[in-house]
Amino acid sequence: MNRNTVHARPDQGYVMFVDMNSFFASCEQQMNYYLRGRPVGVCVYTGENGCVIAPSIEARQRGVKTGMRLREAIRLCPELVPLESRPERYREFHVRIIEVLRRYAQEVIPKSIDEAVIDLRSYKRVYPDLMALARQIKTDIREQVGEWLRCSIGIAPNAFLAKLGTELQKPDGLVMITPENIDQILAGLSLTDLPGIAERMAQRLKKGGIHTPLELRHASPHHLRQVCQSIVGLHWHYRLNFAEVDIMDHPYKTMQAMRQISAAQRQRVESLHDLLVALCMTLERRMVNQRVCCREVTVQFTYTYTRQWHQVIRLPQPVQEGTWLLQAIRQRMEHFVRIHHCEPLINDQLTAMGISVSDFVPEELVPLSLFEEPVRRQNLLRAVYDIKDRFGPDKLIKAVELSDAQPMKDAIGFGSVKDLHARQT
Amino acid sequence: MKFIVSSHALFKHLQLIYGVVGTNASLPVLEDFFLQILPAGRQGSKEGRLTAAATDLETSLKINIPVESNQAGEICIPAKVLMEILKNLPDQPLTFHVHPDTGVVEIISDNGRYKIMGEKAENFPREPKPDSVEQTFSLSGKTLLTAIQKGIFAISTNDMRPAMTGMLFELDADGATFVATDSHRLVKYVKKGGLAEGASTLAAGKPVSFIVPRKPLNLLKGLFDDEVTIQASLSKSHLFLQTDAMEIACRLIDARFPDYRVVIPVDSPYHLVISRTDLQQALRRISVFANKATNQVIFTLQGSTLELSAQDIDYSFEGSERLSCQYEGEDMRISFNARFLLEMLAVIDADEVRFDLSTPSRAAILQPASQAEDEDLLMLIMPLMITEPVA
Repeated sequence: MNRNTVHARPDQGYVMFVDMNSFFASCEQQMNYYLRGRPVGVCVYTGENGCVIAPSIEARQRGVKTGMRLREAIRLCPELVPLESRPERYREFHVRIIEVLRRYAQEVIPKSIDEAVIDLRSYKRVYPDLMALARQIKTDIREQVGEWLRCSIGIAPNAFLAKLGTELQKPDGLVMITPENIDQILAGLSLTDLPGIAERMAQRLKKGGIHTPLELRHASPHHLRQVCQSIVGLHWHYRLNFAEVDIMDHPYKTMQAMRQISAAQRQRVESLHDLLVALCMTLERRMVNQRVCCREVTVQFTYTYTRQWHQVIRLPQPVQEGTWLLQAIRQRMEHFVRIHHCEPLINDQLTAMGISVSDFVPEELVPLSLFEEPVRRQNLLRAVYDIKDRFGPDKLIKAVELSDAQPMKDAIGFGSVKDLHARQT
Repeated sequence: MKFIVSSHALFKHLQLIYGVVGTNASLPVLEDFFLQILPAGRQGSKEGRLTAAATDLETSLKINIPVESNQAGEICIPAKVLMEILKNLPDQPLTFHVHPDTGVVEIISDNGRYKIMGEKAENFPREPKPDSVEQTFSLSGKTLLTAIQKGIFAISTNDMRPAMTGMLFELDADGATFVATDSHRLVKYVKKGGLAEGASTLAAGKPVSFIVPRKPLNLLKGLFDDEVTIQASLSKSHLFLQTDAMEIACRLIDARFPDYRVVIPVDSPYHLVISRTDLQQALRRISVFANKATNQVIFTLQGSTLELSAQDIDYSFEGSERLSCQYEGEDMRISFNARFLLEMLAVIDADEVRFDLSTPSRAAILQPASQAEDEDLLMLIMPLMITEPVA
């Protein structure tokens, strides 16, 4: 029985979800003509234990999957070309793609490096034929960004269903979900085919008597809240009944910088100190981009003996500079070592280092100081990062960043893309 | 070792030094009280004396409590356990039996018998001795208490700037100056007068300046009254204060205090005089509507009217109030953190306060409109940037 409380209102308009197919690998193929048509696997490290983070369409067709070890991927596809990732280049493509989308509508929300939502609800009269618009966007991306780039586009009354549309046809797909065809589409899917529902969530829903996406769509919101034991249940009700819950562009609540440390890296303890500096500077860059200061720092060190050192440091005043973060963390480490009479926390047993900052205050709300001028300091930092952007990240560095070691590798291109667009606005 | 003491008196005295005892001490013995008995007749004392001490290695505090005892001895007792027992006992004589060999302390009350495992007294860290004293002076208890009361709230809690986590003492033959700041506000209290007024007496006549951390200042508030004269000695690293009832030794902050003189504006052309209580009450009401992160309250000065306004955009709260005042200067809008201002107004005794202002981005001076001749209290507060659009 249909227990919907939300009625479909397609007259409110549609949103379009653009999902780039095998984005990192396609960018590599776009940049290197000789890779086109060949199976390519983009990896963070190209050792045999490295992980394929983005197989090309050709590699996927041969059975290579995201997250697969390179050793296994080559066993499945001996002609696979492993490539080290170059996130900076992928970000450039991302920015150019978003520029293309923004020519059609201002309401473009980049969801990740290879996904964006175009909210077309205010453009009903401008674009009466959305399928034609989608085809035009595909053409524009090919002509203006890269001929080898393919994308799947989903069109639906809300962002979730539009995203589902992109999943239904890959590569180079185009699917429109409407109140008329949604039941027919959902009837052919299982719960785990819906983006955001993994095995555990599916088990939970099945325990609550919901076995298919269609049953999920027609369940009462009350029942879904009970099954999910949270508001998440209600969100699923809204998503499958055309109400919008996913399109909001939330401001940052936290920013994180972390690195895994290999056995070879941890042999040189000095390089781990450099890594700590680099992580703090990464967070500084992101805070400068977003024009915020943080009031809380969380440090998490993981060791080979499966122990963790986890500390939350409350800062007495909002901080943006990496050197201040570093000082607060070092002070806490020294205090901990002194109190517990333990060995230094940065040692050869460290396997991962993570720092996150949170509780943000906009730059302009940072209290003025009697002895310093925070506004001048913020302006200086912005100028430093403008210079780095223009002439290269290593052209201007702080004394604390001076090191003999290799600079920290910009390894993974996934994650939030808000910073890319913040600097442009 | 055995001694008898009133439970209430012991509790009251130990409470004064309990603040020194750490909770996460690196040395377990730092969680103990050190107790030493001096029986009647020793060192010229007519009655027995219990000396109780506590330390966190930075601050050591020692007090004397009269007790009945004929035997000398010393022991360390876990502070928390002892305080818990004493807190819950009605006033009655308590007998302490200490077995030095085993470290067992037996406490016998009217109806009960309690046993605590103590620790050997020799494990308790010795307090620093004023061996290399550079300077001695006396300080009136009233002056010190007033300085602490006026300035302690402005001491910074930011460990990244150690110099500001204490109060600067500047003593010379003309008097004493006490300064505290957290970089957003500053309090300077000057007690004028040399030897005759008893503000401070410098034995060698040489000016001294040093930074005392917040923790011992907080403890000092309850340790003596106005009438007491405190004997002080200063070494390179420590300050020692002594009265008949207590001794305190605290490590000084080894850092350079920021040059506060250069940040005190000398040319603030606009002056606002207003009733302190009126302003306090209005600020308390208006700050309810202020953004919780910034506590921003905007002062709009126009003629002889001060309008206070605040808004919290997140919750669509807003409030404003008008107060009459005496204002000399051009119309202006300037905003402050209401919490900071309320803390500053709370330590002013005068009925009226005076603000000296220049521009909305420069420090404002806050002072009592009238002050005693031998006192000078001056406070600075940095404004906040006004972010909301002008109505």
